[in-house]
Amino acid sequence: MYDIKPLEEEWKKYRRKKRRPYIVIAAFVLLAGAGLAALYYTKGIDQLFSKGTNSTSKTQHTSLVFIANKPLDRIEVAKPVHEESLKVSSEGISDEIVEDLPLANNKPIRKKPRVKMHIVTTEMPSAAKKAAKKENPHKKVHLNIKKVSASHAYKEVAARFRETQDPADSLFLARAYYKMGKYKKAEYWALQTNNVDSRNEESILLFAKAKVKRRHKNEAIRILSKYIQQTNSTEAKILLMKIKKGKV
Amino acid sequence: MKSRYESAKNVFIDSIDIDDYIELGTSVTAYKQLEHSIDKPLKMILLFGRPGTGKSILLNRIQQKLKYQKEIYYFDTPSISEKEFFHKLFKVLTGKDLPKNTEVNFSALVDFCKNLRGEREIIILLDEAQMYGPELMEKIRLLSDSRAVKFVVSLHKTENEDLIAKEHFQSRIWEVIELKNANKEDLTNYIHKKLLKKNLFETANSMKEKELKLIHKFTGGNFRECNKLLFTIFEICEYYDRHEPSKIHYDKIPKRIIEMAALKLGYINV
Repeated sequence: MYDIKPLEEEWKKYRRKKRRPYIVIAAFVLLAGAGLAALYYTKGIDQLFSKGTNSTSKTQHTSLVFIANKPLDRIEVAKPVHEESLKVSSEGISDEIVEDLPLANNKPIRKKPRVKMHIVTTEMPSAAKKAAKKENPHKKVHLNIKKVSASHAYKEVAARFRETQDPADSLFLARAYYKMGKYKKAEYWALQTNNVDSRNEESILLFAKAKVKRRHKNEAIRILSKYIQQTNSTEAKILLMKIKKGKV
Repeated sequence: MKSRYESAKNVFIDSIDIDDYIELGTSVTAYKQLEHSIDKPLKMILLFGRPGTGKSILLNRIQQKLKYQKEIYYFDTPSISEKEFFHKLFKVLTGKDLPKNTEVNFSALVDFCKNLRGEREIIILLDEAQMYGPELMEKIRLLSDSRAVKFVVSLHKTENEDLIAKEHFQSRIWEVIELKNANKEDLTNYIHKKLLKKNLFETANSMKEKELKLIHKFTGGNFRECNKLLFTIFEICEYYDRHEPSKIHYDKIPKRIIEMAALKLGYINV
């Protein structure tokens, strides 16, 4: 046999050709591994993981609609589909512009409430301090009271809520409007409160009560029933009973 | 000094030597089937199979086995012309050579065969029958009709030859025996038995299951291809044994060498 050397060369070429797909796969795996490692070290993977955990917590909360940071009207549908729920809420509210407020989806970044104080108060004098008063010269307390009309005050609170997204403000408005008999506005502000703080039970109760007042009794019952199913709230149960008996 | 692979290489020289016949499960079945068919009062028997499936060696084997019991003749190479074929046949039937410048009268030959009915039973094994033309095949059929001469026709199984078989033999052949390529087990037995027959125990042991599987993959179980591949494998082994012994392991045939042989024979390409 004299052609062994060319045959050896040919076999080497054949072996290279045969190994090529494996080499390509190995290179791909290595590159992918390197990419993942790079991501990991630049904390990119952490973000991915944190995203993952967020999503899981989200899915966990979807079963408890009011506990999750979701709009209140989501409880009206079996599956918490956002678009559908939005439709339901808009039906109830769209016939009248309540306030020129941003929707829940376009929430600004939450800031600490920046409250403008119009009333300057001082501490109440205690007995110990009375004694001290005798020693120190009397200091006059000035109360700067500014007259503000009720409607103007509500507008201010609404404007403040727009800035701060403080659920206390929106709940205050919901309560106030409910007391005033402005149930549509009360419903709107209860909904806004729930958008900001989905765990706020009062917002749900107010929302339900406003619904009843607006002759949407069945809707109110459905909302409360769903809420009771999820949270087993006693307050909600009492309110539901009252609504059913027509005492609200 | 003689290499240990030289003898192994020579084992796989392709031949139809009866001594090289290896009894395998499938070949024994085919042999018994053919022997049984010959005993039947049939006119023509077709032995069918792809090249290298062992048709020639089977015919050879049966001729060797039955030559003392029956009037059996093996026509290994096909005759180029009708004249040559009938000269051969004349000699078989009469035991005499045809005088020079004479030709066989076919109808006289048929009559002669008819007269032999009941007295003699002549079996003619025709190898490579696809080489015979349709006209000659028709005359062979007429001779077989005399019932004094029985033909075993061996034919390659290719697309065209299938057609010949269909057109010229289908209605005339009474029995068809098909030979197929060997499966992995049969091929393993074939290789081992061939080597052991020549007392090459070490070489037979060096052919492990993995290597035999690869050989079967390259040859498709065809005995002729297997002989070719093994001859080349041992030829390469012989070279290394003589010139570069570091490249060879005596307890195992390296996969590299099998692939090199396959490359040389064109079973695989770069």
